[in-house]
Amino acid sequence: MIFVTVGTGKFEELVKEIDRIAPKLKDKIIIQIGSGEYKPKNCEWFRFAPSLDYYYKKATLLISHGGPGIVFEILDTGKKYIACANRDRTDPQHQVEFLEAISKEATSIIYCKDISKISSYIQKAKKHKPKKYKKVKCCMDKEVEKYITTKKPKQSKAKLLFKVIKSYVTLVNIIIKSGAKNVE
Amino acid sequence: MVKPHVAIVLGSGGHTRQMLRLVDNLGKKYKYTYLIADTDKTSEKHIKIRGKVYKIKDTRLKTDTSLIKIILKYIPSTINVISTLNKIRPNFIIACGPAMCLHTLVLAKYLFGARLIFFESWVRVKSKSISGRQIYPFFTDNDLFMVQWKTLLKSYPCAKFVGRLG
Repeated sequence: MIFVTVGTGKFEELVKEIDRIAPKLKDKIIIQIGSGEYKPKNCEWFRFAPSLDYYYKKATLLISHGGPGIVFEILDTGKKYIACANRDRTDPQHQVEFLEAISKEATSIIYCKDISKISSYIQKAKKHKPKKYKKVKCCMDKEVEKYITTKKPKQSKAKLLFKVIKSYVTLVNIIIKSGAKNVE
Repeated sequence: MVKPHVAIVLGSGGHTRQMLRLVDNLGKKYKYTYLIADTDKTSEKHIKIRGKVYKIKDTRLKTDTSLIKIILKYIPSTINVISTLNKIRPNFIIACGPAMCLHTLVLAKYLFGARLIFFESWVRVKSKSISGRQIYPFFTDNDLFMVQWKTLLKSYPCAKFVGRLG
């Protein structure tokens, strides 16, 4: 079974293309279409589900949009899958950038650059053998904790004083110099 | 000892997901208060660690950028933010975008003396986000700015790389 997911938004381009090539593929296809308007004719579909874990487990191949929420969720399952950048967003470029970077780090992601060629990517994915993905450690919570427990550094006041003194010195310097000129 | 009071600005969708992952990792050491955009209906359900929830008028513009609309959105929202921050009085405020975190952070810092924590979204690999670009100049030594990709350190020299929430 091939499972296609587009998240909570819509990704008509991908849904339409999968629906078009569906009769040619031997596998059964299920699409989660989100809030998209186009309803697939050649495959099973549904809008939302409380949890997609069931489909992740059953599927032999996963296809998703480039939303990092879903990408990291599927990475945790360890399955290989195809990701396509959805350009129909407020900032069209950020999913492209993200997918390029993450597909270099994690070999289980096959980044599909051109949705119209997705059938060739599906063929490629069947032979593809990914290596295990090493998670980048997250120390954000520790960093925040460290930051919260350290008291406000008093450096800032010292720096301010330093700045005031520095500007005062330069001012005095200028006055002295002009005074010296007057004497000459 | 009194728990430090942390205000959390939830965005929507992916922003909320990342923020709540961070809050789950931080645990119950702090007192949390959540700020949510009034247009956002799904975020509140996902909160696991309880805290008071306040709604703020959203200022998100998407593609719309005419000056009159910006002013019409920001003035009521600013008044709204000041009155809620006055009730909360946070020691720290954490945000990661989108648009409604901008004036909230600036007002919290300069009117209420809160210390700011901001992190860039995990999608941002090389390019800055709009809210990140606009809020970065307000960050001094007293505040914490974090990124989730090492490549972003080039564009934010004072930021800290902290790994990825995913």
